[in-house]
Amino acid sequence: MSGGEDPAAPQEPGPVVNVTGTVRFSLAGPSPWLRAYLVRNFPLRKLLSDREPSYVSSFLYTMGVLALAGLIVAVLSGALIALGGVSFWHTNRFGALMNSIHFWGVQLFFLFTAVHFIFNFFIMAWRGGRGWTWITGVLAFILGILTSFTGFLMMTNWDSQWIAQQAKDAFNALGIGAIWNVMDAGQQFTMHVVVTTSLLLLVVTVHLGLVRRRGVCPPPGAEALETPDDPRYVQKSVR
Amino acid sequence: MAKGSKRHPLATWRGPERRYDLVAEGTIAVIVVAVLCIAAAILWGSPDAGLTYPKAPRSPAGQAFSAKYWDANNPSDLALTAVNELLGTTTTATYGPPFTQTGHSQEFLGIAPAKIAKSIFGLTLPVNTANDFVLAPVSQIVAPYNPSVAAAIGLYKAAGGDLTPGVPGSQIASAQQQTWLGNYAKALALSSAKVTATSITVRAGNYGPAPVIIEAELLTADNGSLDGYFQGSQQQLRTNTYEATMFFSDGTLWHNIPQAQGVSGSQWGVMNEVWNYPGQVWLWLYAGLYQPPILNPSTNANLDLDVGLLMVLVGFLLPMFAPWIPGITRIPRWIPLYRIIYRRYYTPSAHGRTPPAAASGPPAPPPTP
Repeated sequence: MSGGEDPAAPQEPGPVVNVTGTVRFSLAGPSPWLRAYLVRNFPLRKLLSDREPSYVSSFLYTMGVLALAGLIVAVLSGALIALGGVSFWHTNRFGALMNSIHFWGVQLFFLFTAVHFIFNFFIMAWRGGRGWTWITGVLAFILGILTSFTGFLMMTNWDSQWIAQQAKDAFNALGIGAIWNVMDAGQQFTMHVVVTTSLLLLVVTVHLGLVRRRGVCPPPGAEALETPDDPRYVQKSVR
Repeated sequence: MAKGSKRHPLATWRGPERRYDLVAEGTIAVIVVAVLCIAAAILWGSPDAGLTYPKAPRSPAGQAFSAKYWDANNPSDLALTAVNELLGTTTTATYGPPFTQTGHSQEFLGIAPAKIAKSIFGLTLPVNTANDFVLAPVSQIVAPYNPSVAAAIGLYKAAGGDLTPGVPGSQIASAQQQTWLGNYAKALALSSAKVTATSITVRAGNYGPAPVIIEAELLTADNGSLDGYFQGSQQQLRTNTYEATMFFSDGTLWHNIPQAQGVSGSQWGVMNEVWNYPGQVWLWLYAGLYQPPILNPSTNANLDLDVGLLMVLVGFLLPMFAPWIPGITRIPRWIPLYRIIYRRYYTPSAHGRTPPAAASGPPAPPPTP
């Protein structure tokens, strides 16, 4: 980011972090640059805001946080299932309850995510420099699908056998099946609990950071009411 | 980039605002969703139906398909499938990579990703259906304690064939073995054949050692040792049961169950769950792409690859880059649902000004972080 900054930008260091926001990147000491980048792009007044535009009045705006809540419920219940092992929930009542909570958490996550996705499409939420917010949101949706898919593959029952046997053909046709064996419950346990969930949480974190950084997209026609914090920068034309 | 054209990462809404609390909103959302999930879990549980389906024997929750289940419910199907595995004519035996060296690898524009993957990684899941599904388990489990079975195995192997892992199905059985097995398969298909969980009675014929071997296979399935064989290995315990899954799926019973449960491919497959439970509804596009007549789902030998590539294109890339695709970005303008969503904002009396209004006056100084 710093490469494109105006060299005439204010150079007074911030009172807390002692950076100006225009620190150049250095391989020998990248910390000041990273600190400046984070302070400039993710200030706490944006990350933990206590004010929002008055147009944020539709219940549809709660779909994002509800999807996040579904993800949190799924992760917590899933962690408890994983602690018990890959198949204990078939015979243990606590495990079965956690599995049911996990199941419904995933269902709600996708329900809220789908509405969130459709809502943001129809309000054109990518406007005003929010392209990466859109991309990371779709990526989170795709990773969510992969995560739930691998979860269905590691259930160690008939369902997972059947889904794996059916899914292997597409994986093999695409060449992925050579290294991603969907019929291996152990590999799917790793994919589900470690790989896809970690990637999903990472992308969701970036998505949330971008949402907080840019703020909620203004209604079409009201873009001019959103002005750059630094007056030396101007709005791009609105798509 | 010229000065003035770069967008500053931070911008602030200068219009009307209201107070709220991000942490409080998030906490309430988690509590509400958690309560909903716990209530749904208590009321409805989650799908774990096992092998339950109409007119089937009672199946305990979470039951998986096994050789023992197969043998108990359709032993003739198991016997005939085992014969075909020895012959090398099943779907698995002729599949291609990553299971066998040759077979149909699906192609698009002459490119077969499965072959490319094989050239890079090798044959990663090699299967020899005759050896892996029949001869090896019978040799290991029954032959050491049953001289007649040991002799039958010896006679069968002496007749030729190729038991190398991953060998093409056409090379698995020799001409002599094909004669024995072909005769035996025909005899098994006759109505006079009587197959129980542990015995086979067919009319007399030139079957070589096949009846002894297949009957031993049924015996190992009946007492559960065949499942133990598939779930273990010579050295370790393992979770990779792909050989068992491939063997089971070569039979008929395997495909009858999902049909009865309403989750087969022609019933939109993996996006469904048993009974009234919601399944992987989010896979509607993937499951739906197997249905359009334009893809010839019943005859298209490259259907899985076509669907996989369409998913990458339509399911992943299209939504991800929708904001940069002309036409797609106009859809919300053509169907202006945002006017309903923001109807209060667009109503002048709602906040005492006429929207959309441009910012007036000089912009505020940049706030501190």
